Amino acid sequence: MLSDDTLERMLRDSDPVRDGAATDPGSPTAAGILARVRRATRKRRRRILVLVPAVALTVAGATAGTYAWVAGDGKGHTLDSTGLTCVGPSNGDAVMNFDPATGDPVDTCRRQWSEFFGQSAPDALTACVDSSAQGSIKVYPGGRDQCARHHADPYRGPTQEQLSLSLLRTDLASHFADRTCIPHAELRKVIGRLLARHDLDGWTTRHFQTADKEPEGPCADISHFKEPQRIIWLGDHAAGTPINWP
Amino acid sequence: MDADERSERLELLFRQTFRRVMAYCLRRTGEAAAHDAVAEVYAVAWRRRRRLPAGDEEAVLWLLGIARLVLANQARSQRRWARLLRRVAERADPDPPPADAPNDAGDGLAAALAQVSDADRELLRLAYWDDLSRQDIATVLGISVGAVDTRLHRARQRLRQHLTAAGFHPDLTKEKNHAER
Repeated sequence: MLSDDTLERMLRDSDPVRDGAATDPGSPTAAGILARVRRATRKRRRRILVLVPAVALTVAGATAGTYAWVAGDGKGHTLDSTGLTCVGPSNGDAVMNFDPATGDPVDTCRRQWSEFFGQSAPDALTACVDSSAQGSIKVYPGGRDQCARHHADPYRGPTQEQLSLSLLRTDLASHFADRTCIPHAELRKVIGRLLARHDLDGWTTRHFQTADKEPEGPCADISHFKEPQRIIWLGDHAAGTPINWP
Repeated sequence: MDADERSERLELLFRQTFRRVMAYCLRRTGEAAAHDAVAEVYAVAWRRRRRLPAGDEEAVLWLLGIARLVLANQARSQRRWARLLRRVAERADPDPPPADAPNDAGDGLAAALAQVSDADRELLRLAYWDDLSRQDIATVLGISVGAVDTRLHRARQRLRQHLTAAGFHPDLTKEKNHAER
């Protein structure tokens, strides 16, 4: 019978991460990842200063400045209809792919709440569009007051364009279902055809890692959709590994 | 906070914690997926930075908690993919025969780890690969220290049973390795 000491030594010896280079914060890989994080967190205009005549303060003969915010497109629509964040009760959020044509944000989070957070979902969950650069859909525990509390607006469902984009995403995943390597040219061609089929005007594809300046890799995937700019960002994909369609 | 200050704070957090967050992800998924996961971890962390603990160690544990959820999301996507592959495989030629049985300590341990539950495997990784204390494991998993002790004890027991059932014995392995030299 193996002793605890032996078992522990075996486990420690089997640690697959022994290469310090792989975790070096000064490595080119780390720099690339940090650049991705910066792009993802770039601040959009978060607040606009609204000067309003403050009727309540006219007694004091003054005006006051107060802050409002811009959430999503300002009409309750997200700027990123492909993702969803369930805001957890303690450590972190659960971020997942989302299809606005087939899923409801609150139902989606409620279904997977216990798996994510190890406890049953609260009675009330509310879907909001946040005022971050991404204008993301976020589902908060609590009622509709949660949106304002987090400088967000209530989510009012997808736009017509987002529904069309959903169809394109479904068609893409279906078209390339059994593939693990798609050349960039082929992916661009199919995307072009699907954009036309679903009346998605003004959309373009660009290469994410190289900013269209360096040679592309042999295989492509979709990094993400930048809906406000109508850009489909492509990335290089590792051949032979599953393609996760956003 | 202006853009430069935000950028500096993000970079500082990243440089202080990247090594452990990246190692955590690499221990649980492939290299490309780990890069995606780490980028997502810091993006989520930045959006939730008001909850970032002040202490360095607490911040790392908080980030590992986020990484755990991000990897769970990835795994869900991969499971969907695997189901699809199985359906495709059912229509294709039969699989080739399986590779030879594990023949050294590393293979035997890897096979035994693959047989324990996800929860046991995660606990063992946190304890022996990420080298977290019982208290830190409790923080990452959101359970009590007592529960960590109990679950870790059981996880070791179950792993030991799988190794024994597979005929693994450390002394025999040593003798075999000597004989091969």
